[in-house]
Amino acid sequence: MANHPYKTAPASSFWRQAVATPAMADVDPVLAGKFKVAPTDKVATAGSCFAQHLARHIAAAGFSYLVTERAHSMFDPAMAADYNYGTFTARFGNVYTTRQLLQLLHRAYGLFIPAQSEWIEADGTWIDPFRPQIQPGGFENGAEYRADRQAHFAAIRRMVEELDVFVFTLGLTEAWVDRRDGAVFPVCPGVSGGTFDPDLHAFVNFRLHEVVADLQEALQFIRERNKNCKIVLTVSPVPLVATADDRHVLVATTYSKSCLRVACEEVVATVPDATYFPSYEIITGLYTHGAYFADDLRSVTEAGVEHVMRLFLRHYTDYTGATGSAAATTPGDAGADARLLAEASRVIATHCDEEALGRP
Amino acid sequence: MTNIVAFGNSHLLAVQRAFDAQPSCYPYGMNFFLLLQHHYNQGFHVEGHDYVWDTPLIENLERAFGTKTVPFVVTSIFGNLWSPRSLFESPTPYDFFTPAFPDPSDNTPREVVPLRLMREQARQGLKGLPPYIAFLRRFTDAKIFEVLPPPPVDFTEKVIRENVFGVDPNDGVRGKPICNRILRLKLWHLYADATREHCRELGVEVVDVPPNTRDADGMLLPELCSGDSVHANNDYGAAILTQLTALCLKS
Repeated sequence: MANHPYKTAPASSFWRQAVATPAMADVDPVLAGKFKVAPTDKVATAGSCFAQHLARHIAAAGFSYLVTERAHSMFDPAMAADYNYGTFTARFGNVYTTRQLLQLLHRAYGLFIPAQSEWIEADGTWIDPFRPQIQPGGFENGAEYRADRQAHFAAIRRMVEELDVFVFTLGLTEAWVDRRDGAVFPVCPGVSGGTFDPDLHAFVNFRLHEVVADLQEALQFIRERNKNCKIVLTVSPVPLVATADDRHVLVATTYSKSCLRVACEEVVATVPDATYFPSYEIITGLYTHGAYFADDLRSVTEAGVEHVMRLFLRHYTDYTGATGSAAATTPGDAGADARLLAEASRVIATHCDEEALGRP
Repeated sequence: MTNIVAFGNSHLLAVQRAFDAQPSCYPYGMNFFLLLQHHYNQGFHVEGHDYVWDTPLIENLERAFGTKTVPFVVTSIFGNLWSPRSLFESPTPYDFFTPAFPDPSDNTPREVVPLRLMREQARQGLKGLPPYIAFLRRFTDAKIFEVLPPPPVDFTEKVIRENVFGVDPNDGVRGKPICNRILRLKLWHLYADATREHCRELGVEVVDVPPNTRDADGMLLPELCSGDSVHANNDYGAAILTQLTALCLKS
């Protein structure tokens, strides 16, 4: 009988043994991590909304989740979370496209100043066009907006220069751009702020070579400032909520995800210490029969996220604890301010009682 | 004679002293109930809330409301959240910008925090207080007025240290940096606005700071200060009574 490569291939190479037969929770398409993440390694996350889950679990598993833009410690963590502190490493909101990532880095370092730097709503509220949902109701005024953006850019620079591991989740190929300078908006103008103007705003659906080039340039930009950092790329399994292309949203989603998936392959082949982690396959694989999607067939269930994180921790760390439902990340240490406030309250209360009791 | 029950914190003392000095000047009698720390700590039970308040206070209030016609209640219970927040400089100095105060409080490098988050914090702080109004509603359906605390005085750090921290010379708080004066004023405005909104929701009318009691910056006139960084004196209390009288007559 003739010999051939499949004769000696491992079980993971065979669909029936690796995908169709095992229990759902046992399917493991990772095989081996390209490197290990140590508990002391500072892990930064950015990308689409799926990256939020990763951030949450990395922190909950006790790894050093890098947050360079925290809420002031006087704020309650739950309240701060509503303002997207700690959702990602810096308060950039969802970064859906690789072009958006590249421009974000360039803006943080003063290398790109978009023509549209703010949207001022009719009620005087200031909206950041590049993170329009970063806080409920937008910014109160221009001074606050400018100060916040300055701090935000500084936080991004710190992220770039301090991170040990950068986890980026590619989300979309579709975007809206400013016709004047190509600035990419994460959300179509007019949806969460601003006014849609067809003379100013154009729809783009990035091609594979553009996604690859932007991602390579973005990662090179980070490496130039942080030469030893490791890169983990993932593709968001969350389908498009809507397409602006003239085709069915299912077809548009398949193009988008296929393009991003191939882009990861291309980039990993050319960028050292970069790896692709198959969270997309873990969530969307046929072996799940769609079980890792909620009833809307879009949202990823917590069980799906746990499967992803279990495999990430197994193959990319020496972590031996259990993964479970992770709480939201704590945006800041409220200790110092809380202690000071308690002390001030004691002083004031004592003083008020003395006043009330008729201090001479 | 119409009667007013006054119920609240130490800010009512200035009002009480002003009233006691010349009771015949006012077309009503007043009955004061000052809340001290032990009242806050013990509490009393209102259905649906966890607070339990002390029995003597309840008995006294029952007597005050039960034996006389009481058309008005004056409270001063929501406005003091700003003062602990604005006493010390935060370990991470911060600032926020409002339409009335669009500039930095000083030249110190400060973290700019979202005004909306500050407002939310103030709102939550007020909602987290004991259910004072629900407590009073057990005794009366009288119209309730809430007296705002006076704005901060433009006192120097030295005066604040001597008068606010002067109780115990060994107290560890004495070495801590004091909050910037403009930031104190911003915080007072922030919490005053939140108190106005909170009172509106509760159907309580606010007795605002009399306009002639403030300097050009909006701070309490030095001659109306009781000598510390928080309380006003009897003259200020008299100005409040004048406003209160007008509001009662209007009602």
